Amino acid sequence: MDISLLFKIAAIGILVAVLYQVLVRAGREDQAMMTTLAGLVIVLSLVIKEISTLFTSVRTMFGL
Amino acid sequence: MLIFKFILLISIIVVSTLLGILFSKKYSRRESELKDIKSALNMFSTKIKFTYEPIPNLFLEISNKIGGNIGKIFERASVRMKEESAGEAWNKSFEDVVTNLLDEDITTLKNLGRLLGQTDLEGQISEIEVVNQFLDTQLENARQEKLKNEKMYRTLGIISGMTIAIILI
Amino acid sequence: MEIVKIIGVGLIALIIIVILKQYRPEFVIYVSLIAGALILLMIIDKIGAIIDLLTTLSNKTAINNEFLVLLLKITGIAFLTEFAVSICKDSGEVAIANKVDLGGKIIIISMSIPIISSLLETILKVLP
Repeated sequence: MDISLLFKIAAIGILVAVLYQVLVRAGREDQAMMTTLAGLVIVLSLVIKEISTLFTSVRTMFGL
Repeated sequence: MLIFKFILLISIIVVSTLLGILFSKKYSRRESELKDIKSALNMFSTKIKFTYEPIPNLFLEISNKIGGNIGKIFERASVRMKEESAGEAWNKSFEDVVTNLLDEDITTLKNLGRLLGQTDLEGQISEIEVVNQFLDTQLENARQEKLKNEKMYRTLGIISGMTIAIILI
Repeated sequence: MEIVKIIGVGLIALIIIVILKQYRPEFVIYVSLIAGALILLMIIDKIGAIIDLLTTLSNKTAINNEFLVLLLKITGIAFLTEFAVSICKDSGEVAIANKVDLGGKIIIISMSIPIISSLLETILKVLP
């Protein structure tokens, strides 16, 4: 849980954007689409963990 | 521990970059192999026109001049011709050597084997002519595919390596 | 120096979002989610200190401890609801944001029913 997660997501986003561009330039739109989806899923799995940490800590703090 | 991790990450990037370069090389290799086989067939047709040496000797000479995968094919064919018929030897030598050619290239080249050593000089030369024309179109295709895919695979390798490394940090 | 940290996280997230928006707009929502979660997790220790203070104060006075626990629960619900609502509004889904807001409000009211009823009882007792 620190700031490096933000940079990680930014880096993955930019790399996925570059991959998308390269694949579209080579005429492989389907695979470009799949790459974008895979990137989204990976980032989502990174984010979900942190959100659950936040929610559990809030719940224990306020006794919900 | 941190150094160990960094070494691993860098090796992941390096390996995927190399993989990308390997894939991209396939296209330029196909182009050069098509060129090789075209010049080999040209050599073959001029040689059977002007010299009357037997085919195995000709093939051996060609394989010495060309080298590479295509040279190996001709060498295998000339070795096999001692026991089998020319056509069969030609067909089987394509299965002996692993090349970067596509299946359609190989089937057309195998068609040549049916006529090899069976028909007269004119028939063989005209058949080689036909295959040459096919090879020209394939060469053009290969050039276009190389332009399109070579750069893509290279970038793909580097970027996927970086992505994996970033995810694993 | 906590405030510097929080401002830093906010500004870095802002810069990342501005850069990322032109390439992949769908990643922006994740960055803002993580930035929000990070900032909230940073301040959660401070909230713990505040809650401790409140409980010690309420133990010294004659106020019913049950009510304080209820109050804290309501604060927590408001906290989480606000988080979700602002995220929804950021990504342009005002309708869903309103529904989440409504849900939070209704749950808060339903939890505060004991307080309201005890208040009414007190008023009835005071009235002749």
